Amino acid sequence: MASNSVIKPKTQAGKRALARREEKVIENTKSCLLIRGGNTSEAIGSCLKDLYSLKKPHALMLKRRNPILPFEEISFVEKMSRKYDCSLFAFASHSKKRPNNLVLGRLFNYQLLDMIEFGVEGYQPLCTFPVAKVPVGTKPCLSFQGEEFDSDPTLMAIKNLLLDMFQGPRVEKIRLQGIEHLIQFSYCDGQILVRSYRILLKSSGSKIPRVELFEMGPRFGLRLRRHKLATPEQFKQARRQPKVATIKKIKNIVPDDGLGNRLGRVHVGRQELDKLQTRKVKALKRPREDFNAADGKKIKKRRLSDNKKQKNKG
Amino acid sequence: HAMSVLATSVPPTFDLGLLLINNPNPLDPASTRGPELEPYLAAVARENAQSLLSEIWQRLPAERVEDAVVAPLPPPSTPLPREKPPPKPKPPSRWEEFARLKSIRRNKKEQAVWDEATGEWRPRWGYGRADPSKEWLLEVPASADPNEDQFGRLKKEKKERVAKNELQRLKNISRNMRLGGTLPALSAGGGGATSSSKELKRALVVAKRSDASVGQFSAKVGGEKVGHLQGRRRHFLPNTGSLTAERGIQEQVLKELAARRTDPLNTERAVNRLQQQREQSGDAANAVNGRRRPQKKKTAGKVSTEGGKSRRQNARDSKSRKYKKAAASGRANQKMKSLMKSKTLGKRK
Repeated sequence: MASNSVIKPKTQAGKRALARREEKVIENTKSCLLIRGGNTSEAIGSCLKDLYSLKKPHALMLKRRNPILPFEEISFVEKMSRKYDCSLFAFASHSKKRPNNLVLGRLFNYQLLDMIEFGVEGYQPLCTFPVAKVPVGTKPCLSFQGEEFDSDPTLMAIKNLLLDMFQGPRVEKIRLQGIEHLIQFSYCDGQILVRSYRILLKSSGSKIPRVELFEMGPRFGLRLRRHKLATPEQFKQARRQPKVATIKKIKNIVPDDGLGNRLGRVHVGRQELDKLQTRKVKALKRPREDFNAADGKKIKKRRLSDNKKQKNKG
Repeated sequence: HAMSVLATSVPPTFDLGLLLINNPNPLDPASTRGPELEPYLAAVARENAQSLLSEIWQRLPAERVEDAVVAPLPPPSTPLPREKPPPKPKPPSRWEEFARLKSIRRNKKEQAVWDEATGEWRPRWGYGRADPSKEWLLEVPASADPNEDQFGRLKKEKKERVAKNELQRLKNISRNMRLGGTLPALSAGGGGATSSSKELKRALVVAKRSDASVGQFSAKVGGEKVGHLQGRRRHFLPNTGSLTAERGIQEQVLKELAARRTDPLNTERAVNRLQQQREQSGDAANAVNGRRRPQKKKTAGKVSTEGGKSRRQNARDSKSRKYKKAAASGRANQKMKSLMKSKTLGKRK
């Protein structure tokens, strides 16, 4: 937290920037860092650019080439993620052994959580589709087709990663006419086919509109290569949510019985009535036999001063 | 393209917080081949989108906000990891503790203050405020030294106040650290991930058994349950003891080593060496400078010796091509070696 740091920010802009980066209860939308590797083919370079277009404004494309190997040394990505405050990354490269390689990954607390390497096949860029594109910042609908996304553990992890990558900004309310984008992931023959459509809502007979889709692009298939998944422990830690202050229900007390009275039941416990501490009554101090003498007369009340007189006398 | 293959088998599930539809039906393998793939996928997508939108329209209550129809989204049900760990509660500072005990509450101050000197309302802070350090005239108080610089005094006092405030702020940070808070951020960004207790325990077990005695003599950490020792410990024979036993063991080792060699005498090598010796002694006359000369040297064609070619000659002929190549590279190596040899650092013995 800015107020917890030894170095204080000197400008308001600096203060705001630090406040943006600090740990929060409700987090910012995850930003994606797009990195080009040492060598990229035209296809994979274009694919990365399209990914950048899809993820704008929550994406950052690094200009220079970075000849790194994420699966061997992830420290560069972690450093950049810390520098630019991004928790998702996409790394594109091309080599003879791994043509059109795309590594998608995410970080927790600027440390690698999981990453998956895909081979991009059958890529068609965004510009080749003549359909008008959706506005920047639209929250897309996501569709996963295939039973493997719910059964196979690797594919479940991939689904989680893709959800995180493409979910868009977190909103409380959504404008129903603004549901314009659909991204479909289908599992087919070891490939995840990714298709992106523009939604047009047409009036139908009922209240629910009829959907028409136009493929907007980009279009590609992802073939799974290597992966480095988070252990259940790591994932559990990353999932830890802050304790939201809930209104604690107080038992036994009715705050308002409708007439403005606050009612409750007092549980006293077991009481021994003869051992109760009440006001001091001298009459109750004396044993009961004194009260009724044999002749039926009440014994005269004795005072302390009488005792003293007697003592002095005797 | 009527696609009803998918709709009926397993109904899709939804996560409206993410605008997500999970359709667990597999794609029709026949339709995914060839040119039918794209129209088929588009049809599948259309069906999914329609189901999702019907779900949204039915489940979520629509509200009207300034000529737009909006629907509140529920929180997502799919577990997604966070970006950073949740914030830790900050311990209260010394002043905050004091204020809490004395039940001092913060009074909201108004932005404008009446400034007597100029006779107008001025903002309390920021541009246009009545800054005491910008005074052009200062009264010298009666108790003060007449030669004292009053403006300088004000400046000094302000500096001291600022320094005191800074000191108290740092004290609060160090206090938080001592009380077990997070390390203060020396730069922007979070700290490293803390291991869970399980991971720490595992690391401890591994570290302990990573020594020669497999953790037998390591100090026990508080709260640690020590199980049986896992891992093999190297056993060494005692240094002192029976000499004959030790000798016997060494002999055994040597025997095993010797038994491994199936052919203790390399016959081929022995024969070659014998031939060499014979030739050297026999061809002493031919040899110049101790070097054996090939018999082909003087004539262009092949040399015919009495009684046919010697075995050595035959071998040489068949391997001549191979040897020429080897010789060429050998010469190169020799050159390298001589070059290397010339660059010795010390005295050549």
